[in-house]
Order: sequence, then structure tokens, then C-alpha cells
Amino acid sequence: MPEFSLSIDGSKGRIEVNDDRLSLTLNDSTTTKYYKHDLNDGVDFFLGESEYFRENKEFVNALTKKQKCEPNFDTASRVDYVIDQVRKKSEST
Amino acid sequence: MIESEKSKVFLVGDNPFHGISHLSQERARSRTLTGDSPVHNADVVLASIDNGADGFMFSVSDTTLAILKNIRERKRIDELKLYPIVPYAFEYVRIATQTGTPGLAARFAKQIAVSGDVRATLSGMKGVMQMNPKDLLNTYLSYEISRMKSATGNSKSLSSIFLHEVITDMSLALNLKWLFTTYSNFLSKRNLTPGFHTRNFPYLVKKFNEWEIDLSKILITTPFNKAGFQMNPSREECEKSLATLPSPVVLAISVFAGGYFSPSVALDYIASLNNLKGIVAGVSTEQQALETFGLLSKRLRPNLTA
Repeated sequence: MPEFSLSIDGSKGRIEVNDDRLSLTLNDSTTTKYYKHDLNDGVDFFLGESEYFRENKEFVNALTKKQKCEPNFDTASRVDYVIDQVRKKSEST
Repeated sequence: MIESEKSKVFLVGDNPFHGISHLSQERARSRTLTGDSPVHNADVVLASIDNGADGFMFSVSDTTLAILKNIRERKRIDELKLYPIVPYAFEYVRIATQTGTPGLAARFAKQIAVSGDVRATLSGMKGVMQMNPKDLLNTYLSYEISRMKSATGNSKSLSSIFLHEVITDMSLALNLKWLFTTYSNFLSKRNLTPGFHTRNFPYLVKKFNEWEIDLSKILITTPFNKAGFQMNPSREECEKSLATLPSPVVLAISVFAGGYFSPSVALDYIASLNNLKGIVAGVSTEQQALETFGLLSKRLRPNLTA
């Protein structure tokens, strides 16, 4: 299975995150790991993955309350724009 | 304590044999690289039995059937109770991805015909002609039973069959009472206990009570662990539902939360739960089998091991 991971270097250390865990390493080499188990990932009804339920719940709630669903097209396209810019800049450096 | 001393059930699970780790994909990959031959895996299952396990819970796949065949060849198949889970959803999804749904149906029909199970073949033909989903379900179950009997040599070890969580939970969501009653009736007629694998334990209990399905005549396998990992909607709700059951019918999985807890911490929590029938634990080496089932016996069957 393909695995997605992201690594962010900051002035005080590095954050690495993948589907299973988030690892925080400070400049003094102290590392803290958080697994899914630490995140209280329960949902009202589980099918496949917790995210699917949350997405559906958000969508249904937005419909019944006549509110905007988040992320909506506008916010999602802004996120896509940021990702595109990061990719372009990483390719040019 | 877990039910009475005598009736506690310890099962060895098959996740490590499929390269599955609930802690991380990295760990799963490293498992896949280590011993995964049927002989090695059969050694691990038998070491578990030698150290206190009563049986084997597994998804019915070519991998696990090869393990059973190997155990049968060693003439030890009758030493363990078998608790299969069907269907092995990932295998069917993989075939459907490669050949499409018509390809999956064609392959399935061919395998039933080749199996020589006349009852399954006739039931399947009737189901297709009349588009009757109950007949198709019965045909599918007959087919899986024939696969297991073929691997085990008609051993009497088969005592229950579990419906995989993908089907159980999808059918719960779609309110398919007929599927649960058809499944239960089919297995009960063959003296097999209907089992249900779920990640929505409180909801399943609620629906079964509503549908008047006798909870004392089934088995349920579902996660129970101190972190509440995979326990939906919450650990507290799962514990409350467990306490309402008329008798111990739950086999706990994910007890060690994929290695997140030390065995000692994990078993402290399990020992505090009333109404569990037993637990399922995956191990990938003979040494782990010795340590894990040795500890389980010591902590949860103290009167028998003293």
C-alpha cells in the first residue's frame, strides 16, 4: 500500500507525520511520538476509516442546518493552490 | 475476571501472517520480510497451542488455508478449534480490481463448480436465476466451508464462522436484518455458531436486540483495549454494552493495540472486564507465542497454571 508522509523542518526542530504517527524531534534530539491510539479516534459509526464518517456527518449536518460544509469548494481550492505552490517551489530549488 | 476459569478462550490471530500491524505500516512491512512460509506460520500456531491457546482465528485465504493444511499434515489439526472469518475482503477486492466485478463473479462460479459441492452449485444456480440474495449468501457460505474442509480434511475443529466486519458493519448500516437472520440460520442448521466481527459493537448489540436475534446463541469479536483504540463510538459505550449481554459471547481483539501497550498493562485492563468470553492475540514467532500465551495463562487462568 502507498504510504503518505510529510516532514516539516522548523527553527526548533522537525515534525514528521504519516498515516500512523506524528513524531516531534526537537533540536536537542528529544523525540516524542504520538500514535493513532493517542488521538481518541472513535466515531459514532465506523465503516472503512473514521474520516469517512466525519466527512459524511459534516455534509449531512450542513444540509440539515442549511450551512456551508467545510471544506467547501472555495477553501479546498485554496488548500490545493498552496500544495501546488509548495510543489513548484520544491521542484525549482 | 473473565467469565469462569474453565470457559476462558485464548485464540491465536492471523494478522502477523498477513503482514498487518495496527501500530504502523513500517512495522507491517518488516513483518512481511521475515518468516512467512506456511511451515513457519504453522510452527507459530502450534507453539501457541502448546502454550495455552485453544484455537486459531483467521481470515479464510490461501495463506491461512496453507497453514491449516500444514498442521493437518502433521496430524495436529484436531488439537485446535477453528474460528474463521469470511470473506477475506481484501482478496476479493484485489481480484475485482484486477478483473472487474464480472471477472470476480466468473472466477467465484468456476471455483464453486470445481469444488464439487453439489448443494452449493445448485443453490448458486437457483440464486442467480431467481436473483435471490439469500440463496447466493448460502452458496457463498457453502463454498467457504468446503474450502476449509478441504484444507483440514473434514476435521471437527470448525465450531463457528465469523462474518467479516466489512459485511457486518455495512449490513448494519443498511439495516439488512434478512442477511443476519439468513446467515445465522444457515450456520445454526450445520451446528456452527454464527459469529460477527464488528467495529461497532454497541450499535450491533442495539440492533440485534431490536431484531430479536438471540445474543446468547452467537459470538462477537470486536476490539477491547485500554486506549479505546478501534472501539466505536467510545471505550465507555463498548464497556456498557458488554455488561448488558446475557452471557459471555465476546472474543476481544486488538487487546495489545498492536503493541502500543506492554502485555502487563494490556492484561490489567482485560482482567478488569466482566463478561468477556476470551481474547485473540496475534504472534509472529514461536518465542512470542511462548511469552504471550504463557502470560495470558498466568494472568487470566491463575488457578489452572498454579
